[in-house]
This record gives sequence, C-alpha cells and structure tokens, in this order.
Amino acid sequence: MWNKVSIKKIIVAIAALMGTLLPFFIEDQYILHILISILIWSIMALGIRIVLISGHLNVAQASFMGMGAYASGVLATKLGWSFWFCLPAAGLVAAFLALIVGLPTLRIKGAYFVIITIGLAEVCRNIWMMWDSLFGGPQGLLGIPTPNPIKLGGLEIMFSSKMDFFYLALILFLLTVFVMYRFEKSRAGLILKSIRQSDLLAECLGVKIMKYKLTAFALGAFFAGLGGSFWAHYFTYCSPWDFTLHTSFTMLIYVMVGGMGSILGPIVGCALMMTLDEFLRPFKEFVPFIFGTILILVLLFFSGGFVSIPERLRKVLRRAA
Amino acid sequence: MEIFLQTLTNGIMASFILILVAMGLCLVYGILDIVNFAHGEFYMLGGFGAWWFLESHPILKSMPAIERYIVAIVLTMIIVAGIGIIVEKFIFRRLRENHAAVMIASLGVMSVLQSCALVSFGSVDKNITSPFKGRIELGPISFSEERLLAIICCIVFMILLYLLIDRTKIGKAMKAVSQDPEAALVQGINTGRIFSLAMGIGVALAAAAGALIGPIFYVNPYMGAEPIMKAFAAVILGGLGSLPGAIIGGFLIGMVETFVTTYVGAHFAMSLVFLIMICVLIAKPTGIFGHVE
Repeated sequence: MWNKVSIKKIIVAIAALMGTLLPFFIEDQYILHILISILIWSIMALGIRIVLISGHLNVAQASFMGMGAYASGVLATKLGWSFWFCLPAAGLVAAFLALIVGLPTLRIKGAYFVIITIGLAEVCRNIWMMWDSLFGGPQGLLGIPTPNPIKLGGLEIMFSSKMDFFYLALILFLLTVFVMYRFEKSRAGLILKSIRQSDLLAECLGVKIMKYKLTAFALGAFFAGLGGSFWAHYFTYCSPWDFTLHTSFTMLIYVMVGGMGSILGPIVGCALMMTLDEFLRPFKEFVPFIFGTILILVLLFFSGGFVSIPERLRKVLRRAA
Repeated sequence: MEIFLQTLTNGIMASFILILVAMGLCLVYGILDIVNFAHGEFYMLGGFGAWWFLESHPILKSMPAIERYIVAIVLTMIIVAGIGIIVEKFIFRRLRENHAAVMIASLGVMSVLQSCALVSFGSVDKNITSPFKGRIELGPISFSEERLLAIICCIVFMILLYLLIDRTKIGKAMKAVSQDPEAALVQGINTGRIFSLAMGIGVALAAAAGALIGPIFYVNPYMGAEPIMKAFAAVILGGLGSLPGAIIGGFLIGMVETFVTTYVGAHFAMSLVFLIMICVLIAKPTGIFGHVE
C-alpha cells in the first residue's frame, strides 16, 4: 500500500516543512545567509537547466540575474518604485532581453548560442561599467532600499531581519520550482526533450521548435531576473563584478554536478557545492581546482550527477542480489 | 596621421596573434566538433612556458638570442600540445556523444588549468625580458623588433598550417574527418589519431600566440580570458569551422579592437566587437564563410 510515489511525496512534504521551519532553529545569521544564497542560486541553476533540456547551453544566466538586479535597483532608486512593482518588472526586463538575444541565435544549431551568450555577458558588464550616471559604474549601484514592509493579516513584515528575507527567497524558490515542474511535465517539456534528440524530426512533425526554445529561454531569464531583483534589495547594492561570466560558469558547474536529469538535480548541486565552498574558505585559491576536478569526474563517471547516485546504487545492489 | 599609422601597425600585430588563437579554436571545432572554452588557458600556458624557458631555464641561458627564442617557443608548443592531447584523449573523447557535456567539461578544464597556474606561478604579472630590444624606425612610426618577430612567426605558422592541411595526406584525412567522422573511419582513417592531432595543433597554435605575446606584454594566470572571447567573436564572424573565415574574422576583430581602443576607449572595444558579431549573426546567421550543417 506504500507505493513509491506516496513515499516520495511524503519525503518531499517533510523536507518542505523542515525547510519552512528552519529559521526558527537557526540562531546563526551567517548560516541563514548561506541558506538564502542557496535558494536564490537554485533559481538561477533551474533557469539554466530548462534551456539545457533542449540542448542549448546558456552561459549568461548571471547577466540576466544582473539585468534584473540593475533594473530593479534603478527603478527603486531613480524612480522610487516600490519593491513589489520592481520585482515583476525586473523579471520582465530579463525575459525581454532573452527574447531579443534568443530570436536570432536559437534559430541555428551548433555553438552560436553559447558564444552569443558569452558576448552578451561581456556587453552587459561593459554597459554597467561605463554608464556611470545610471548604473553607478565600477563601484556599482548603491543605496537600493530594502523591500517595503507589507501587512499580512495583522502581521507586519518589515524586512529588517534575515528571517524575513529567507521566507521571501523561499516563496520565490517554490514559485520557480512549481512553474518549472509544470512546464517540464507539460507538452512543452516533452517537446524540448525531443528537440535535443532531433530538432529536424521535431520540426518535420509540425512542432514550432523556435517557440518552445524561446519560451524556455525567456522563462529561465524571467526567474533569473526575479532572483536578481531579490539579490539587489537584499544586499542593498549591486556591482558589475557580481554578475560576470565566471558567476555563470559556477552556476553551470552546480547544475552539472547536481545532475540535469531532474528538477532536484540543480537544487542538490547548489546546496552541496555552496556548502563545500563555505568549508573551503581557508583554501580559496584551490577552490577552482577542486570544483573543476569534481565537475570533470562527475561528467566522466556520473553523467547523471549526484542525484543519480541512489538510482545507481539500487542497480548495483539488484545485480548483486 | 602618426597616431593612425602607429595604431595600424599595432593593430596588425594584435590581429595576427588573434588569428593564431582563432585558427586553433577553429581547427578544434571543425574536427572535434566541440567549443573548447579552455583554449584561452592553453594560450596562458604558452605565455608561462616562454617565461619559464627564457627566464629561468639554465641550458637556454647560454644560447644566442634568436636560437634561444625559437627553442623556447618550440619547446613550449610541444609541451602544451602534449597537455592538450591528454585532455582530449581522457576527457573530451569520452564525452563526444553529448555536445553540451563536452563544452561544460572544457569549462572544468579551464578552471583546473587556471588554478594550477595560479598555485604554481602566483598571481603577480611576470615580465619576460625579450632577447630583442631594438626598435625599427620607419619614418614617423616606430616599431619594436619583438613585435615584428611576432608578426613574422604568425605568418610562418599560418603558412605551415596551410601546407599541412592542403598539401599532405594527414591534411586530407583531417578534412575528411571534419566532414564526416564515420565515413572517414570506414575509409580506414584512424579518426582517434586525427582528433589528437587536431587538438595538439590547435592548442600548440594558442601556446605559440601566448609565447609570442608574453615578451611584449606580461604573463599572468588570467591572461587567457580576453583573447579567447575575441577569438570566439572572430570565429563566429568568419563562420564556425572555416579556417579562411577565422583569418578574416581575426583580422577584422583585431583591427576594430585596436582602433576603437585608441580612439574611443578600451571598455567600448569589446562591446563593439560583440555588437558587430550579433549584427552579423542576424544578417547572415552562419558567418561570412560558414555553411549550414
């Protein structure tokens, strides 16, 4: 009577409950900050994955995050918008940019898309660096206000402590997971997978593959924009150095290490690798070496990432039995 | 006018160095069908190789300048080619089936090589005292001997690569593999060896570029990031997988970059390069010399 699906659902429910109650047990603000970072980075990683499903590699995810952060920051500081309007606006700006970039480059197969996203990352960084009057130049945009307080049924949330930010990040994260999950389980998800296997065949079957590729790309960018907006208002500043190619590469490493086969993969990857990163703080110069080695080993020997390890163990055990 | 001529000569040097990097990248893409993000790191290793052989190697110290320079470059190229072949054989070839995985693996190789260089050589910029210190005065423009040497070496490498691909049996085999690896295999071409060879030559060209630029500027573990991006732009502009395209693209990008840096500003240069690239992609999606697969 305890079939597999219900056990899985119960595990997810328990994990979600524990995650929700977590801030009440954690006194240390620093650990809370790391948890918030993991949630936000998971949103980015999920955005990379949804495009990767169709076989396209997006290495400008951090730039979309930065676009969201800067859009939100400029709207809040220069125009005085409330955070609750900045947040969706940031997502829309990032998604719009993705549509513009995706339109010419997703048409053709091959490496063009990857290289154009590299170019995009460079162009974005240079625009933020050079446009002093709007984006604050190399030292970044300072003085972004924290989110405006909201009243939720008599309870006023001030966004003065890390706990409030944690819940906001959790809501954004769950929203992303929900939308990504629905998107992938729908027809669109299947079509994206078919595009990776054979885009020509999919097109011949009458599928408008551009539409689906663009939707996936814009969806990933939209949530990256939301995450970026949160990031800007959480730190109250954003600088060009936070959203470089290197940041995107790191996100990509997290996705692959966790495993891109399922929604859980990027989340597990972010949680594991970011925790490892914190432990490796004293050996900072060795971190790229260790991460690079882990990435290569995972790709060579566990192509499904860390989330595929239980599955593999089960297979080995079954063969042994 | 003087500034213009000086910029022109600098631009030619920058373009030729860029062409070497872009040709290597193009060769690896054309034959192995992968976008090698780690290519810039081989360029960086080339710079460090030249630094090591010219600055600290005892045997080379006693040689005359030209021999020392040539021996250093050739040894660097051989060593870096060896590293490239190892990377190709043990990492890239195993992942060949999955395009995205190979690209991401090359990112891993990039961070490993970069941090290896950082740990073993340190992050401080290193100067290489060039064996050639003279300057050539040609009317209003002055030109250092080492820049001239870099240009000459680049042209020599380009001619050698052309001869290899166009005039030898190995070159023919490379062309065959780039068109259809399976059909090439059926014809009795050892595709594995061709993959190794292409990777070896590709990264050796990058290493040569690094070794030539080392004495002119400086060497540090992060020097690979900028040329690789310009080389990507050049290769896209010329058409992925086309060597003449890489040469034309490299020349255009190098010139635009040098002139914009001199007359407008360094930050603007890279953005303009990528904007040109995006515009070319919109107008002719496969680049100047590219063809649809």
